[in-house]
Amino acid sequence: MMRRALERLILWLAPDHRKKWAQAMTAEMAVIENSRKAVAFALGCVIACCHFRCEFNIAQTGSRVVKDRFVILTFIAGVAAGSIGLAYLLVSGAPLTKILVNGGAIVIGILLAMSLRLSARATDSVVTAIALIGAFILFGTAIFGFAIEDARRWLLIGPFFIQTSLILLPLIAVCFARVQNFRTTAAVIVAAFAMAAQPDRAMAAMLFVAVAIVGMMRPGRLTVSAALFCTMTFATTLLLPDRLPAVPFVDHILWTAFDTGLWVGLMLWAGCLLLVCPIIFVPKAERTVLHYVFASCWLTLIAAAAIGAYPTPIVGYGASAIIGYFLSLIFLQPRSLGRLAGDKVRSGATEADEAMPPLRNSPPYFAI
Amino acid sequence: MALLNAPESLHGYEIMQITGIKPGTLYPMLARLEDQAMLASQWQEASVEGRPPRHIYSLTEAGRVLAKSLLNEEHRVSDQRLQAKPI
Repeated sequence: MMRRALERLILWLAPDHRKKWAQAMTAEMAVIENSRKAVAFALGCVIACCHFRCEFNIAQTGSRVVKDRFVILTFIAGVAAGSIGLAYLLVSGAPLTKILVNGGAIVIGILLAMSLRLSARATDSVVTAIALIGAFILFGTAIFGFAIEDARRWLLIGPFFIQTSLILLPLIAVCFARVQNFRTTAAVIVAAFAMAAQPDRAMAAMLFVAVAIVGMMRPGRLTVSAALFCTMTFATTLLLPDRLPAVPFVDHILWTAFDTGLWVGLMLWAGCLLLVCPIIFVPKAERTVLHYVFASCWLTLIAAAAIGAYPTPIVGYGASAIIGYFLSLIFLQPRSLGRLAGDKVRSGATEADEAMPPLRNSPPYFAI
Repeated sequence: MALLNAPESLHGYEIMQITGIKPGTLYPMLARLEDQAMLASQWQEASVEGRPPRHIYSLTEAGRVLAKSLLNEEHRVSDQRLQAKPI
């Protein structure tokens, strides 16, 4: 009875490539007449199989870490940049609600990325479906979303104003870099049209750069058509007026942070660089269109935030970009991760708060 | 060493009895030696009916060369120890 149980344990413990050793052990057990000796031998064999199993698991984990190093580094970079953002909000005297929103977004982003990466299969149909759903949400935002100064970029979900493009557009870009078929191309075209309709120069630029990279690295009828359409929509956003004023802790912070202190400004720039530097750690021969698209998406957003009044991703106030960053990690692995109304009263409004556009002042909502 | 001196291939349990090495150490060692092409293993039909075939092990040519060189090294070191005189 005990012998049988140990035999089964030995066979179960041994990894596939060591199964013949487990069979050899059980065969040896069969020839040992003395039951006590057989059990002692079997226990030794169990230890040997544990050794095989540990050896195998360590090797497998090691190879997985090497294979997923870009995703792991990107994930770490996101967490580090998010933490830098929290530190910046703290030292620059941002209201507690902003710090809590960003902190909550980091947690949600991490949980979303981890759970979706574990559960969602990155098959072509799943990637295509997500690109299409994302594109139609962006289109819906451009039509039915909340508008400020002619810019219709937000959806009101509960007490939160969500900038859908910051959440979904990097994901759509990654989806297109992964799968280029008629439907993902249609998703890119719908998303580009939505960016022109909202209008949003920074996000349109991001999509244009990402799709242009896909077009250059994987030239084809679909990718080139998508790149041309994105060029047109980006050009359209440049022609349309953009009257949105800069929002404290969101826009222009890459420069205004230096007013708080030299190290604060440098810290924010370092946080931004963190978002794009994981690609450096991928050997050139192993880099794919996905790596370039992901890095360029965030580089474009940082450049836009440095040039104009556009949200500074991750390091600035804004949960949408944080969630968008972590969400875009889920399909990254190549085939071969407001302020309340009355805050003025509660936390003491600053001059910067007074200059906030209507959205950020609309009670009782958070613009994230 | 047990395999080097053995007139024919040995079973795992026999190696264990000759060397006194416990199976928890012996089998990983044998597996590693086989990975390095120092050891050859094959299945041998059981002499008694109803029993499963057993694994037998023998040294490959490379394994034999390595075992001999290790044996020579051991002899050299023990000779040196015997010749060494206390000052």
